[in-house]
Amino acid sequence: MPRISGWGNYPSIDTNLELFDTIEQAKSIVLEAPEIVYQGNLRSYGDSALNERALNTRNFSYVFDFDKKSGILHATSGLLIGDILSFVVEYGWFLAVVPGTKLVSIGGAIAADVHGKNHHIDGGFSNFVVSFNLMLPNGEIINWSKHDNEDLFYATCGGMGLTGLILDVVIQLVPIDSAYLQRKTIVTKGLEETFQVMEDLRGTRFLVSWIDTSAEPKKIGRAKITSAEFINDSNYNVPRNRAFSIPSYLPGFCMASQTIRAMNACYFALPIAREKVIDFDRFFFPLDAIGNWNKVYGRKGFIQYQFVVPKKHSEIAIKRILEKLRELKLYSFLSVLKNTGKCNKGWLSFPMEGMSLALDFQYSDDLLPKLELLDEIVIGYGGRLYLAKDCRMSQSTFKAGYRHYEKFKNFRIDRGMKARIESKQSIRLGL
Amino acid sequence: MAKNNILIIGAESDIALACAHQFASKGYDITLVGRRLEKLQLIQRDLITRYQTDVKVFEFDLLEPSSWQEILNDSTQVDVAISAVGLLGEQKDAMADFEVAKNIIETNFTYLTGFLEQIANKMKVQQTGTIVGISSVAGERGRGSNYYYGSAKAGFTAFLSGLRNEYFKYNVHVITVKPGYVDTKMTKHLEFPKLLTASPNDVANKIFQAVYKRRNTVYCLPIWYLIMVILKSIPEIFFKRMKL
Ligand SMILES: Cc1cc2nc3c(=O)[nH]c(=O)nc-3n(C[C@H](O)[C@H](O)[C@H](O)COP(=O)(O)OP(=O)(O)OC[C@H]3O[C@@H](n4cnc5c(N)ncnc54)[C@H](O)[C@@H]3O)c2cc1C
Ligand SMILES: NC(=O)c1ccc[n+]([C@@H]2O[C@H](COP(=O)([O-])OP(=O)(O)OC[C@H]3O[C@@H](n4cnc5c(N)ncnc54)[C@H](OP(=O)(O)O)[C@@H]3O)[C@@H](O)[C@H]2O)c1
Repeated sequence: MPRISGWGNYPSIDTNLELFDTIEQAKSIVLEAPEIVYQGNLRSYGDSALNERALNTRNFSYVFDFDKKSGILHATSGLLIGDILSFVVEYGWFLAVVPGTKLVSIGGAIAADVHGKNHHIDGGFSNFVVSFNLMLPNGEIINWSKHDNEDLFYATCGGMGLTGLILDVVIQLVPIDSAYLQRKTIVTKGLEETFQVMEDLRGTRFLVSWIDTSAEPKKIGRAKITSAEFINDSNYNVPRNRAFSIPSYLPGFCMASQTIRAMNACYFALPIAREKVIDFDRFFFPLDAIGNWNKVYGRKGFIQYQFVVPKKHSEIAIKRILEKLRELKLYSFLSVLKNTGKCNKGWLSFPMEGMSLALDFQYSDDLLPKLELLDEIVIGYGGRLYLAKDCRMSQSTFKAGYRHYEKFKNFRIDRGMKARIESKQSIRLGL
Repeated sequence: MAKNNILIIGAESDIALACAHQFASKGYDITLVGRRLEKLQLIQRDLITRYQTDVKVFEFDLLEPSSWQEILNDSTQVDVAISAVGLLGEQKDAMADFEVAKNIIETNFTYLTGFLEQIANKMKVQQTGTIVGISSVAGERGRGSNYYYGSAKAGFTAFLSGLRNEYFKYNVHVITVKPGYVDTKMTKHLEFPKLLTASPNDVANKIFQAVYKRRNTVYCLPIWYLIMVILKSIPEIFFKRMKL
């Protein structure tokens, strides 16, 4: 039996893995399994795609139709975002929302309602979903399309696969005039300036910053802020970037606190090009150039801690978090700060208008209680944690952040989803 | 210029599917052959949409030679033929039940070699062609845990080497592929060390290069060559005592 984990390599569990490549096969597995989790490409970090029995969509990966004139794409849930981009870009189309890796399946992108570097402008992935087919635990297939069955849509987008198996999806792509972007980089000196610049640049389509969480107190929160827009030179040819792979786990000490501090210092000392034209692959998916980079954290794995806090408290909340990290001697390499726009109506959708920060911590036994201290700050300021990254939050932290919790749970009970579709996460959170 | 055509046998296999994408993206027309028409049609629609290439499908069960004819009679020139048909089967069941053992041997060897002989013949008439047979490192030395599959693959490897030798004079080339561990539906219940495991895409890449370079035998990950040299060099008096 294979031992399966999410991207963080923590936790991992022995899994009875099921694959399917036709709807008929999916149906027989869905019907026979007493309790099962649906699984895409396992790029969620924690336990949202894990259980003893899993139905993985990787073999259900087909393009049905693509209309080059309207940019409407119809494909099955196992298809990866990278597979889509590899053939639509040359016709001048792009996905409106892409996460930081292109190795995410369409099903996973909807289930987590993923956000990109443009959430403050375009919102989440599900905004661009035109329709989908969902298989319920009783084998029935429901077609959802815009404006009907609202509950089903809002429960499914961001619903972490707990409402049924997403089979095939129609998505609206967005036009681009080039495969290249003009990227501008600004380096700030501290948190206050970082916030100011992020606010000033809110009008730019793509905006993200890497912040230093381990600098000395005066410089803490200094950042490399990157903003970008597609250019319009009608050049859709992108050289295939070769990926280099980390072949095996590195020893755990490689990402010890001293190393992380040194790496952060180096990163901020590196000279930067203030303006540069760069292909979409290198702009959106720089981490994909190093296959299995998650292995640098060693066998025990790591936890990504991503939270969002509402705009009116975001600066003070993030300042408190940074101070807490220092106090707890927690170090994270290249922490990502993003502006997030208005929340959509997805019941469990993560983003809310404000700021999101993602931090990576190497796993160790004393990490978990420390993270609870961070939870208190996040919840205290009205924020919440991202389910797609989580493997440890408590029910009370979850309930405090997600106010549609009851509604979602009751929906699952009413529709016969509960107890039939469960992940380690849904069990832990009582969903 | 007419496009090259590739015939993929056992086209629903994960490795075969990766090959179909690889060759279609390089401008090949594709003929998919397999026993589940529903899946073949899904793949067909996908390949046409993504690569604007011609894709034909044929329903075929290797163990039913009557279903071979339509493929053999098809007038399209076959430039490359890849066989990905294979059956791992359950060793324990095969030991207990001759029908299971027979099925493993017939799928991996008897019927497959019979069919490929006919394809080779077709290529002989065309005076050109490349056959790619996916065999396995399991055929290098019989082991307690899978000797039905392994011995059928050993036979298949020997067959491919003979085929290569015989058809060389007709400009028909034969490539033997020994993938090592590949993460596919065939092996989904097994836990493999990541370092030794290739993805279907890795294998497809290797096959594409092998066709172009007219290689004879390819291991997908070079480390498997080394492992096999070592495994084969262990004296039988020790080997028979090992739990493999
Ligand atoms: C390097 C990296 C960068 C990332 N950057 C971002 C980012 O910028 N923004 C962001 O939002 N996220 C980001 N993520 C997280 C990632 O986008 C999400 O976790 C996404 O859900 C992963 O999709 P997956 O296909 O790997 O699904 P999995 O991880 O396998 O599953 C995730 C969830 O989707 C459900 N699911 C998957 N397929 C289906 C289906 N067909 N039907 C029903 N449910 C299904 C699962 O049950 C599970 O709950 C990043 C992850 C990595 C590794
Ligand atoms: N995975 C590995 O680790 C590994 C290692 C070494 C060698 N190989 C070899 O690689 C090849 C491809 O295997 P894979 O890993 O891609 O596994 P796979 O997906 O299980 O492929 C095997 C294919 O053979 C088809 N098949 C079996 N019996 C058939 C029959 N009677 N008629 C027609 N088709 C039949 C199956 O069809 P259905 O889809 O309808 O079942 C399946 O598509 C096989 O020859 C295998 O032995 C695999």
